[in-house]
Amino acid sequence: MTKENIGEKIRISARRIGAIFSSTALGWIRTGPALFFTFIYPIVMILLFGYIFGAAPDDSMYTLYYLNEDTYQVDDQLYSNNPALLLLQNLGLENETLSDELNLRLVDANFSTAILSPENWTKENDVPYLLLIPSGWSAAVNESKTNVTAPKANIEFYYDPSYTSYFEIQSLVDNVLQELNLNEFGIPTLIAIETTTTPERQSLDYIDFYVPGIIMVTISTAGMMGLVGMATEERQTGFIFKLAATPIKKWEWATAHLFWQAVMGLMVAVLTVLTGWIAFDFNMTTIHPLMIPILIFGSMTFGGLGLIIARFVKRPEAAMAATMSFVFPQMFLSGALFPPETLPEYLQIIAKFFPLYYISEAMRSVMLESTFSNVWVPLGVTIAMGIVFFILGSILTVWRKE
Amino acid sequence: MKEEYAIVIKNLVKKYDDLIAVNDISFKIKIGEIFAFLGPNGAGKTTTVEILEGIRKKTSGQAFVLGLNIDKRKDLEKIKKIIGTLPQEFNTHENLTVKENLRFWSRMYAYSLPVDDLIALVKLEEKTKAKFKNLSGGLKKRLGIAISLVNDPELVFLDEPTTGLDPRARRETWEVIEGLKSQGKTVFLTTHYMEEAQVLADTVAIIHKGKIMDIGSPTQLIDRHGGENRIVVRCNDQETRDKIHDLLFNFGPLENEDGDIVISSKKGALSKVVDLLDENEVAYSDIITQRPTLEDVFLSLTGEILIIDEKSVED
Ligand SMILES: Nc1ncnc2c1ncn2[C@@H]1O[C@H](COP(=O)(O)OP(=O)(O)OP(=O)(O)O)[C@@H](O)[C@H]1O
Ligand SMILES: [Mg+2]
Repeated sequence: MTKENIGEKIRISARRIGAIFSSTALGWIRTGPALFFTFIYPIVMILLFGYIFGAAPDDSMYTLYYLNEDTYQVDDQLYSNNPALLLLQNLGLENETLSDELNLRLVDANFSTAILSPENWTKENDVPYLLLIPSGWSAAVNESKTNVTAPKANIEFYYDPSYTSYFEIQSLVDNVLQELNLNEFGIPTLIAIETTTTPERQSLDYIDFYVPGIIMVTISTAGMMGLVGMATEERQTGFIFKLAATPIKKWEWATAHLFWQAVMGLMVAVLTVLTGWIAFDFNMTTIHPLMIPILIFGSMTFGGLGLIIARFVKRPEAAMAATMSFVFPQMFLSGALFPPETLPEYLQIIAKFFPLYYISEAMRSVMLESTFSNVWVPLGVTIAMGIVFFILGSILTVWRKE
Repeated sequence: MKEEYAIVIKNLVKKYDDLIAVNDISFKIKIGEIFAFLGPNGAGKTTTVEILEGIRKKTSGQAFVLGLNIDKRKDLEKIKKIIGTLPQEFNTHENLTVKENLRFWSRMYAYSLPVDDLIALVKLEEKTKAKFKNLSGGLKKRLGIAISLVNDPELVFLDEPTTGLDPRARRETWEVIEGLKSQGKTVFLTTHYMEEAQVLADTVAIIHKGKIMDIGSPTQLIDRHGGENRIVVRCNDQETRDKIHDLLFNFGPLENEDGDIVISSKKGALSKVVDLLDENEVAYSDIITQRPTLEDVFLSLTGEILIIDEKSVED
């Protein structure tokens, strides 16, 4: 084959791919609803996930009511001799002060247990937590400093377990008590836990985790649905068979459609990032050029999968149902929206069978310098899947009626 | 080697499960002729055409299109470059205009005709900016015909090109098809309008239940199966009708669906009939002789009536 021949072939192929691509784009632009739903989906997702899982724990403030019934009067000036005041100081200083660790506000409950039980008070005032320092507590503490056989001096913590944050408050109080034990009363804590956030997600906020996840979920869903819908519809209207009677090759047709999916994917990505940035302060520095090949090969993977489904399930409604039954579990299991480590072990194994697992893994790895070196394996898998599913999708597509 | 035949079919069979849609048919179509596949619904026309276009699997048999074997991949690739197709259910991009759609299809080929010429050919100049989904059924068909010609094909398959068209549009389409012939193209058309086959076709194959009943020029088919010419006596009222019926009893009179009396036209019959009616002062409105049509051919070949052509298609 001569050089001109090859050049001519490439030119003709490019012309056909361009024709399908541009007619698809034009048709799509001219159908309002398609335009709207393609873009509204990731926006709704990001707002939903951002508010439900992201923003809440960071911004909200907890209020801890306390009641100090201790009336220890000896040497008031010295906190060290007044354990009750010492405890309150360590918890967040005296009345109505902020503790910076947890956005904790201390408020004096200011009632008398002689009149109302703490359970009833919390119920009546709709208060989730109450810390109660019982009368005589400081004396009991000081007693136990010198007398090891004295009973333990306890404070009381009342909480409503339907508030999931009780655990964090309780831990905080617990920590403060431990510190007091050690520092003020000289009772050594033999073992303790030391917590440090790991470098992996060190500077990743919730939103930084969800933005790439939602981009990939949208691309996988839209990519598969898009190609399944297109392929089954073209078969139903007979368009595909009219096309099959022209010289176009299946791979040219598939390339045009997958290319279109990739372009849509890029648009979705840009839109999602912008929404995340405007609404939740998404950290733009996590954007990396390697995300583009991930998007492209990701789109190829899901487009190819869509073609394969459309090949075997010919009725449009059935094909859509088949796609949904793949897309939904993938969305929740693949780690795109929830860290896969939180899943039961057997689900973690299943997760690895979903292409989205590797693609979102790759996507997240490139976001941070500290995890960047982990990108190569999932990126390699993503590229390989893109190529394999694209080829399988085009080969398996049938353009001849039975 | 110059090919003499545009299409050669040998023992072609197509089965859908237990239904035999095309039952061992063989025939040839000469280059440059208009060939009409005439048959009722479900006869197997579309099935045959789609097999020839390479978009439907056959069960057995052989077929050659412009000397190329449809079973060979390389040959099929060449076939697709030099044929044009109008599917029976033609669809193209809904939201694209007439012109955009034509441009789309012409970009499938390495070589294509100017889009504006094709628009002029099917008289769609007024509609170039209309979206496909907003065209009437007839206009969609016309666009489909234009699209079947974008690559200036040597052979055009037109599957029911005039079904659903009004008489005027049908005539215009016939002109387009005749124009194709004058350019030296071969046309393979399917139809259930016997008039269409009679007017356009050089060769007609009558297909019924997957079998070719006979094949030949319209004249040949009529000579073979049409029977004799007929004399039709037109009359307006039942009294006259009964009177004519009685007078012509020896000629074996029949009545057609218009209420005319029809007898077969043996030698000298016409003058006898005219004399007889005049002698008895019968007030008939007209008397004409009719050649048998493909309709009669079909009736005699299959024992069934093909289709009553719409009344709107008159001479
Ligand atoms: N995909 C299919 N599966 C099963 N049977 C089919 C299929 N396509 C066509 N048939 C049957 O094969 C027979 C021939 O159909 P075909 O479409 O070739 O007829 P046709 O001559 O084109 O009819 P029409 O004038 O209605 O278009 C019919 O009985 C039809 O029901
Ligand atoms: Mg048909």
